[in-house]
Amino acid sequence: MNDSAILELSCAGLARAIRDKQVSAAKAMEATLARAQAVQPKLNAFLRIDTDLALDAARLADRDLARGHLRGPLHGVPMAHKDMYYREGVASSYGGRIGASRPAPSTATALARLDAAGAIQFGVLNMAECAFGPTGHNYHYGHCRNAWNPEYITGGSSSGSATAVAARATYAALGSDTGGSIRLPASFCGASGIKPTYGRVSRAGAMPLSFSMDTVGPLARTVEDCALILSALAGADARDPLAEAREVPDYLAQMRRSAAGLTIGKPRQYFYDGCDAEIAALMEASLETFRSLGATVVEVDLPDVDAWNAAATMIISSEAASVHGNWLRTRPHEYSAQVRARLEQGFAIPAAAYIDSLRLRGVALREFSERVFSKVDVLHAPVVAFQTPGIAETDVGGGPTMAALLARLTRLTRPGNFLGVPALSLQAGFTKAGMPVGMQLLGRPFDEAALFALGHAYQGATDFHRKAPAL
Amino acid sequence: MTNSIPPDVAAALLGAQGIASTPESAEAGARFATLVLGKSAKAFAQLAFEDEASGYTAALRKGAP
Repeated sequence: MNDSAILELSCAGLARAIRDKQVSAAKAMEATLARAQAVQPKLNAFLRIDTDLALDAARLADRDLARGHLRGPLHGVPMAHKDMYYREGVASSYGGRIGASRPAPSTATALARLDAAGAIQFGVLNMAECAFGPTGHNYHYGHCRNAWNPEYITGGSSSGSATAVAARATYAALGSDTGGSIRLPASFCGASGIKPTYGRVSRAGAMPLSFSMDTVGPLARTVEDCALILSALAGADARDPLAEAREVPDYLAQMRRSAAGLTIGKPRQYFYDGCDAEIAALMEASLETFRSLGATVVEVDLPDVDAWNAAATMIISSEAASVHGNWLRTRPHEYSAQVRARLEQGFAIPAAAYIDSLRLRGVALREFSERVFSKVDVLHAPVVAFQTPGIAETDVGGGPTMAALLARLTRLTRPGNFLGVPALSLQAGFTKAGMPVGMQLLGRPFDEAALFALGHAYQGATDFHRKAPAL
Repeated sequence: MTNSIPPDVAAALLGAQGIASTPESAEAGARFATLVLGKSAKAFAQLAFEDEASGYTAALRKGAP
């Protein structure tokens, strides 16, 4: 198998090819490293590439396999991750300067589980500073660029994760999603990404931003890859008291069930307010595809999502201000103007309003479940209501237009974080300008399986996820 | 409906928590807090006396299929 053919495989496809000894882990790693080095000058996706370590690890994986030892379902698959997951003894940058001199005391549970499944980490990826930015701009390490057009934003905060996946420069990557940070870049870059239910994946060893809202999940080329990786990540963890102990379903088996019999809700309110006509048309086309697969589509009414969005913003801002408080007092100059300005805003939220926001979450989830999930299995919506903006036009720093821009970007993703429900982002097509457009499917708590079933069926009927950018 | 948070109150809140503010950052903080408080006021007013934050975890588990 030549390098191009290897790089076109999905994560699941490469894992199968390595298991079946059609390709070695070393050969796959060499192809991936060469691709990563080739696209880096255009995309600025990587903050570090560990060539020698990765090749040694891949050769070791080949020797293990030759001895009959298959480490797990991701044996030998190269991956790079958002630079906020701790690796013992290594400093994570958090996409800025603030964490760059702080070696991690232990390895993140998510990384340890991917290691145990056989994946090989070969580098770390660019990200929004402190995971606190939805555009992909980075004022410390340079802006991350969209593989489909480097003049456009990647979305954030998992910017490098999405553009590297799209560029075939990694098979998958960990992201994190506190207000949309997996779904936004997945949508802008044409990747698939799953924000799991809050608590489904351990946050131990992941840089905190807002402990009530932070979730850990993968971005990959296909929904099947997301299901495969989430199977490795999910489950209880003694190091994260909020990691849910409930049994992890067989996502791959459940993903293969038919979409027929599932009911999809199209929201009457909020998600289509001011929606770009091309995006609305792509959403409608995707619903038509789901109908053709046997799913039922019905319109549903939503509660007051605007209030939830404001409450989510208060939770994230207050907790981020608290988490970064000590550094903001002693090393404020080490933050970029935008992140510092946003963190400081959290100190202006009254404590009672923060607590009211937390009290509202349970009420909101019960109301949403009654109104929506009593009628449908999944809510379908755009990830963003407007077309991919340019890097220059959204380069607002910490200036007066910052708040409105950032709020507009996360308007459709933040409600999913407030509710804590799982949300899958996947490609719905391309605009006339050739940029990918994503849809999101929101499911009942801990029902990632329904999202995977619908997403996998959709990708079986479409080929958007197979298209690669010309770089 | 809530009252707005004036910039001098925002500056005092930041200062009381050890965060040095500028007129611009106090103004931005005040604008931000006023906006989100205004948008959530009606929902907060409808919270029941007994609603507490732990109700969320219960709702999450109860909502699972």
